[in-house]
Amino acid sequence: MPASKREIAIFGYGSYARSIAKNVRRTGAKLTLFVMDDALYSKAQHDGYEAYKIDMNTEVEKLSNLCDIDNLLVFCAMHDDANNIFSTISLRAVYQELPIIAIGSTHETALKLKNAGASKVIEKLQTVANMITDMIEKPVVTELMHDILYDESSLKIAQIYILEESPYLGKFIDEVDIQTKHNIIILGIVDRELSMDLSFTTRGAHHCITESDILVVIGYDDDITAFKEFIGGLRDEEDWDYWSREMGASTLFRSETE
Amino acid sequence: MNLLSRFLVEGSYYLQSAPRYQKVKKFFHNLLENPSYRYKRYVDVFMILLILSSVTILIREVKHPVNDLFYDFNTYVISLIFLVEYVLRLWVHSSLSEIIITRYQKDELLSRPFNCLKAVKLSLLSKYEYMISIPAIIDLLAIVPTYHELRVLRIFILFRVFKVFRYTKSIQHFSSIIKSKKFELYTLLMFASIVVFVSAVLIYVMEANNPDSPINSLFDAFYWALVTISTVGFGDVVPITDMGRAVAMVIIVSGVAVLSFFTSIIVSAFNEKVVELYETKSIQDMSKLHSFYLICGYSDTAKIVASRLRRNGKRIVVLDRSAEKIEEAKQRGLIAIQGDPTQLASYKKFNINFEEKVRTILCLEEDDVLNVYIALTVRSLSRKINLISIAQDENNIVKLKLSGVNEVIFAQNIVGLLAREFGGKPVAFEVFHAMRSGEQQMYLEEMVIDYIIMKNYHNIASLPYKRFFLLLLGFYRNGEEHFIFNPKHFVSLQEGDILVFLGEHRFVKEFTKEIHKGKK
Repeated sequence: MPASKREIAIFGYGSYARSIAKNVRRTGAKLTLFVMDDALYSKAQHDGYEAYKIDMNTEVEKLSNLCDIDNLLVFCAMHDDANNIFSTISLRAVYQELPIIAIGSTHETALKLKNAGASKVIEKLQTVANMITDMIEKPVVTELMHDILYDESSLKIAQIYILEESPYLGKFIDEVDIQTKHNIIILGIVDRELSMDLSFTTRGAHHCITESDILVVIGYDDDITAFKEFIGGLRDEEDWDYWSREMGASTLFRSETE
Repeated sequence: MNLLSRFLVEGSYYLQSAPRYQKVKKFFHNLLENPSYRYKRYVDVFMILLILSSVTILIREVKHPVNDLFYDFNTYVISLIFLVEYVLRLWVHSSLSEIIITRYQKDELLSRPFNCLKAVKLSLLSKYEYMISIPAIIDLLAIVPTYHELRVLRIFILFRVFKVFRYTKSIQHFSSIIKSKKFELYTLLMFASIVVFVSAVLIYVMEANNPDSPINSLFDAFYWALVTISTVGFGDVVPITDMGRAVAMVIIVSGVAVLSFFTSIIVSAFNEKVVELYETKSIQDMSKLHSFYLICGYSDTAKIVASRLRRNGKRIVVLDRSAEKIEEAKQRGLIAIQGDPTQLASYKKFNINFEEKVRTILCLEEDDVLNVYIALTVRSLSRKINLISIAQDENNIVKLKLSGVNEVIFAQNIVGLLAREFGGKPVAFEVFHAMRSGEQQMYLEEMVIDYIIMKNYHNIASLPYKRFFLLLLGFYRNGEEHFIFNPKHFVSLQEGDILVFLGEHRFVKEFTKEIHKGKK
């Protein structure tokens, strides 16, 4: 995966935070950890992370000194739900624009986290339960998704930005046979001129490709790279913040502050 | 070995290996003795109706002349049916041939001569054991027909009424309750008997000599004592002397005590048994299901899993050790059974064939130690059952796998991966998320190619999925490890292929219907 310019900050160093840190580190993004107590601080340092101690009551501003706030994505993944909610609300109080992803255990906590200003909440129990039921009901699909998620196959889901010089500009999706030519399947499109919402191509592929569209595609890694070069789009974003701010009200974030 | 014993052994082997004979025997065994057998209920209802009609005819006959047809029906037909039932029950109760064979094999093993007489004796003994059991005796006596001519035989109507109990469960529960309180009831009975005996003797001594007193014999005295101690007090026999009345006062007071003591024993026995009764009910409900998912440990995760699976029409049974959680599961309409999922006995209690009925066992305890324990317990029960478990600690994934779990789900890892995906590719993540949760009505659906589809469609291009706005991502083929992504149009289908489509649920349904209909 290409190195991302974005910075990521993780609050807490419990089991969930550790797993996030481990996975995020692999993407090559700049990673900063913020913890509350000494034990976790030394543990994080021991594991080789850049970690800081922070007091959420008074030192929230410390964040802007240590990270590039305009380019930052925050995960609140503390062990205990109450602390997590408090951290979320403390961050939101100072940084109105910051994208915050919080980990909540139950549905109730998830609602509280949203009210506290989290942009997105990942519900632990719900995620696990979904995984179990999917495994039972759709074993093949689950395996496929797993392979994609766990990087166990070279199949990937990627987003491709259409730039000015793309050869497909002005063409309709069903007109150019991308599926056979490039061996990738377009799952959905975000047409930034119309709305910020994602529309699936199955609902009708009669869509004119214009500049600044985002195509969400599935395909083998090599094919995607080749297609990206061909179409002149950038794979993986450079303007995540654009996404998070401009599209804040759309499908992605339904936070209270925006 | 003499001719007789050879004949006996060979005959036994023949019966044991005759599939038809065994099948018929099993059928009757199920019909008469297996409460989870579907058709047993009809037999029970039929027998109860027979008994009721028999009793009705007998009652009617007491004061009115009864049509000969009814009389004959009652005397011969019902008696004959009862006789057949009795013989069948005796037949299915134990297997003569099996006992003879076991005996024969044992003798062979110890290389001692086969004792034919002893084997026959042993096998007949097993039948005799059944014959002297109380239900069997009642059955036997209920066969006796009630002729007009022998009035005394009317007493046997009693046994026909008793026979009803065999077909109703509540009386079995009641008798088991009485049994569980044997000691208390025995104590009470002794106390009551002593009081009755002493007061009967006393009242006889006090009153029998008095010419005005209605108590003239010892029988009168006992009759009075019993009527009084039971607090029934008919009032037909009353003491008239002061001494007799004094005795009466004592027996009245002790009567109240006896009665209340008796009531409290029965009530507390019921209370103690009520949990067990509910459990029996739950197990019965469960055994009626054809297939179900078993959740061990009703944790918070389990609650969500259960409600999601239930919404999709799956059957679920919950096994948990805590009574509160069982109660909660029941309130949500699940079949819940209290028992320790780490103990083999809890599963044995289910009394079902696990491999046949249980689709998957989910170990959802919030403690890895328990989940490992459960997995090992289940594995000792069956090697085949699919097992899914959650893990709390990364180090325990391997241990869970070792203990026989097919799939381990580790929450932290999933969340971590999701977070990474989300951090890196928010749009792709959203698609991913939508496809899994069905937020935009878009689902990834799988469809198995069966022989009906194979009749009409041979390759990918011939499948009309595009008309239903479906996107074919690829397929899995048996024997091939990897997912075949974006197959070419000319790729031919095989039975057992699993196709993965992206599309709206209703269109997938329509599409499935369409291709099963055949070509127009």
